[in-house]
Amino acid sequence: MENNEIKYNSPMYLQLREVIRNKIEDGEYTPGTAIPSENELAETYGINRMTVRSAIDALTKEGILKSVQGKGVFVVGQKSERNLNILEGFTQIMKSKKSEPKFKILQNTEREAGKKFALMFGLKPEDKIYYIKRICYDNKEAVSIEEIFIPAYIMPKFKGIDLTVFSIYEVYDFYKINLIKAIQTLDITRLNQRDAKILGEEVNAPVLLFECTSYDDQDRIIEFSRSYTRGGKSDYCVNFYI
Amino acid sequence: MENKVKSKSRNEAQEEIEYYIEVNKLKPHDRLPSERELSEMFNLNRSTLRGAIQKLIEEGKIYKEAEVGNYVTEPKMIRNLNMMDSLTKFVESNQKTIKSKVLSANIIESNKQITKNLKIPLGTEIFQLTRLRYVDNVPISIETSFLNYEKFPGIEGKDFEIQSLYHVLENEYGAEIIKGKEKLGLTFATCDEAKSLDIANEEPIFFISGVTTDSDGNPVEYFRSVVRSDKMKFSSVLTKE
Repeated sequence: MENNEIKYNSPMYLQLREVIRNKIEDGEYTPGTAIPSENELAETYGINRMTVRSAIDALTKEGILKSVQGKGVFVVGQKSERNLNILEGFTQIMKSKKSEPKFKILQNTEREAGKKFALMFGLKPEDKIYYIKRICYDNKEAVSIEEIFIPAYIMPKFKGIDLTVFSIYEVYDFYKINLIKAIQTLDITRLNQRDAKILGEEVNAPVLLFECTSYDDQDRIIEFSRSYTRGGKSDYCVNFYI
Repeated sequence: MENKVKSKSRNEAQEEIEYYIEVNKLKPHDRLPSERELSEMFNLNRSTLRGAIQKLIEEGKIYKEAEVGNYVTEPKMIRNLNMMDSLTKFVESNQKTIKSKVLSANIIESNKQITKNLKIPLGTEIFQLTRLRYVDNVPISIETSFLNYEKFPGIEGKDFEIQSLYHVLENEYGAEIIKGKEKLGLTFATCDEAKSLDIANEEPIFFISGVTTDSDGNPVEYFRSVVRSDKMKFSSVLTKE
């Protein structure tokens, strides 16, 4: 921790570092979203790019920013100590253990809840929900399609968040949403034409359907998700007590 | 002002129908309104509606009787995996009946897979029991259990069409079975499995394998089973603390 007070004659990179820090603390730059580019910052404050980079590097080291090659610099929110991973439940085991799962977002839109999701989330049918559809890759191979439904009131600023940079669980943490319960089901179903094409399977190919409804500590449903996983590409594991 | 009516997508149409089934409390095998009625009720064009119905059929929520109509499917049984009571307990608490048919019961030598799971030397004597389980007289699963024969001598003399395996292990041999870990995946029914389960060859089914242990984590039973996916699905409830 540096408690040195920033003055007008402090080094420029230190001053910019504090400007960015303040904008994060004031909520102008929100967790999960990108801050302006190095060029934009350099131009706004009339300083050179190397200085901007020093400021960003300092905040990256502190864990406040996260730099992603080719995408930009993102605000990392505060993470809570606990998360859902400590809960036991189905854990997806990828067949290949070589790489971290990667996602490609197919759709990230705001839509009306409609009757079905209004009933599920306790909303009015015209209230908004976010709908995310993405492909999960394991080692460059499409393994599953995931659909996620989240009521918009829970995270009004969700739209700008880049889900290829942060996991949804990280984002919940940033917004102090404390997930405490999840109900999961595992079923077998068949792929429709569109999804079969995405996963490179035949139409009607059987897949594992994993559905999860997550609740927070105020007993609100925060998320409903469905994931269609190709057979043979991944198993689910669970601990049980008798 | 012109009130523009946005045409509904197939997903929205599907959700309308699911909502209709839920709020009208339609029961399994209840008939849905005709496609013409549905398209009028929800203001849907026929091709969107057909797409939605097709998707609901694929998802197993409704089924079609040719030239008669669409019906609500009997929901699958849901088995909670967190507290994996034996199938016997599950069935009793759901007011169903269970029946077992012993397909085979042998003493074999431990192979590599059994050795790894039960943590015993290769070639150890193993009691292998394969049962076909019926719920309400419908074949649901084929379960194979592997037990260290040394710990359960004489077990081959028990009649597992009458007695529950866990009951015998706990009450007659004093085994302590506390917890376990299992893995679930998708596989396809082999010829023999399909025949026993009364389903088509190559039907997708659940494949489950796992180990149950005592309180110290020592393996008691290694099991492998296949379960019909048209009759059953699995659930797990996670809670913090």
